[in-house]
Amino acid sequence: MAEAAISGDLRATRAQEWRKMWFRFRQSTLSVAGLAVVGLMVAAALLAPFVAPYPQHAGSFVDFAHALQPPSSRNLLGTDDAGRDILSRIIFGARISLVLGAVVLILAVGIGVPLGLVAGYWGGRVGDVIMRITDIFLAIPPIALALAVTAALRPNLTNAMIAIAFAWWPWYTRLVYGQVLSLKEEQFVEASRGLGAGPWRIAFREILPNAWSPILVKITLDMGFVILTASGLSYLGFGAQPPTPEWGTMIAEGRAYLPGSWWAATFPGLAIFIAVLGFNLLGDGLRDVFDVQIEQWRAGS
Amino acid sequence: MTRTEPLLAVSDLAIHFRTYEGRARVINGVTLDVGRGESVALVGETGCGKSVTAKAILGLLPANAEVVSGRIVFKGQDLLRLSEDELRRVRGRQIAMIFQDPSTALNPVFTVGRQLADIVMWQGADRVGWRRPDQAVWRRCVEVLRMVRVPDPEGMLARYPIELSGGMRQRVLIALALIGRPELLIADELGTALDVSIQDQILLELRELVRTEGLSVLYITHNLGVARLVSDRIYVMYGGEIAEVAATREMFRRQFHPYAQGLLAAVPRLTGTMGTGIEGRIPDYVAPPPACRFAPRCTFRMAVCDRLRPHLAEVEPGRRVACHLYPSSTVEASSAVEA
Repeated sequence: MAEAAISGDLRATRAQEWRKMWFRFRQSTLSVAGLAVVGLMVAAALLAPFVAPYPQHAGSFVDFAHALQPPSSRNLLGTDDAGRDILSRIIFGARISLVLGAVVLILAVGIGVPLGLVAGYWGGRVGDVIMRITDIFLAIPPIALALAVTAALRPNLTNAMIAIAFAWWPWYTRLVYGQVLSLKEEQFVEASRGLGAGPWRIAFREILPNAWSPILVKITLDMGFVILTASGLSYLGFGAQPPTPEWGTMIAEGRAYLPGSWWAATFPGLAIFIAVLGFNLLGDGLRDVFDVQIEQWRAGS
Repeated sequence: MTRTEPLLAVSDLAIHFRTYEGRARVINGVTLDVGRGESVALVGETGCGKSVTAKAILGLLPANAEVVSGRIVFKGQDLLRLSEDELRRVRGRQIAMIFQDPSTALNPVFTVGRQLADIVMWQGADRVGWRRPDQAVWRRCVEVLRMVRVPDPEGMLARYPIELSGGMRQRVLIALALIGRPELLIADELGTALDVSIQDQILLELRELVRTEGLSVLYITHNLGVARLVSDRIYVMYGGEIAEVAATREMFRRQFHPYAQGLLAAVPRLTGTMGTGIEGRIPDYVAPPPACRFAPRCTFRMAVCDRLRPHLAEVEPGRRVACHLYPSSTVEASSAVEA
């Protein structure tokens, strides 16, 4: 009933709120550019078999007759040492990067957020232990930690994801911990306690929903950095293995032919650069939108 | 007590706070009761311990507070002896608090309906659930919103707190307190954050509602005007102690305790000048005055005031005062010392 009972003018107000948010987002050309890049990447990933000029080149295809061809109308971004079309491989690489980023962040958020919530809301001895462990993880650069983990496991894409997630969760614990510390002093938390809410309900249903917007912004920003880290691992040989069209792996393969066949390493590198930039710009844009909303509320409107 | 058993009886409550400066003896032997169907106001200046008393009743004291002595008996059971889980079943369902600041006491990310339905479904529960509210729940929400005279209660369910005016939010907060069908309401500075005209309107409506529903209310306020409007009896509190108790009408006719006199004199009147105010500040709780806590500010200070703590004694039927100006207060105090 309640949801169905939204009257016409209220629905119009809500729609207007969304338009207002979109308007605020549009104020920055860079945010829109970021959204466009991310949108393009998602589209490329989804439609890879249809948009890639040579879909069969994504895997272990070999055509030595056309190896290391410079960019031309036949191969827009040239070919690699096995004669595969680099553009096609970059398009398929978007799939890997997006899935990888999503999996890593789901794992990192899934581990980090509940830990931060528990440490922040309950505090005490348990909170201290959680936060000190978090501090230990934060003291080590994520790429070094991920390298150590993949070196211990077998180097492949799945293990690279596990390794990066392993290095990434503490940032979410830290973020949520800080949020919870300030949110738990809010009056609505005490009010709901005074009306009979239990601690789990307060933590997960009163506090956590208020902490989502910074988490969401961080997820967007982190997408880019996770892709960068994963490519780094792959480049060093600890991530995706050839012939997987992972961008980092492609750079590693093309590196041997620099500077003569510059395109083999440069274009996958540019793909990483643009993807990271796109997610960063989008994240910044989202932060602008959310921050205004939070400020409006804090000001009591 | 010759009357029937009160709904809530706080007796000899003492609460200390551990602070950097030392042990703050904030609540020093408060005795207070609320009868069934009675509206009681606890009045005093900021920092006198009103809110602490209210929070103690619901077990919402901060971590550095310690209940040193006393009992808080609600319907025959001592709330101070209940575990946190047992207390949770009392909160909201038997004793509900109406929070003071309408701009911050509602969760900004949920609709009004969601927050009401949450209480209906999960009050007192310790699980985290994702059950969706059914028709009966929504009907109950609308019913309560109608009770607090929210216009278009069905439409209100879908609104977010940010979309409401201060007065509307306050009504929603009252609805949140009422929805668990409590027997006792605690209203902490109700309406203080609102316009005076809206404040009066809401207070009058609540008084009406309390009467028709037969609820008991403990109003916590620093505003004597509010107390006069809504209460049957008034407790004047000073420095963590009860200074004077009287029926509201009697209290406004004549005040016995010098602090109560000062408090009323401080109220600005339409007829003439601003109120006179009371010199000085609330006492230091870490090193409070040795006997009567009001003595340093009192114009009638006597030698005994620094020696013997005055006892809250009956000076007239239904009126009790803790002040050495009234012999029964001194007599009871000295007999308590001897015993």
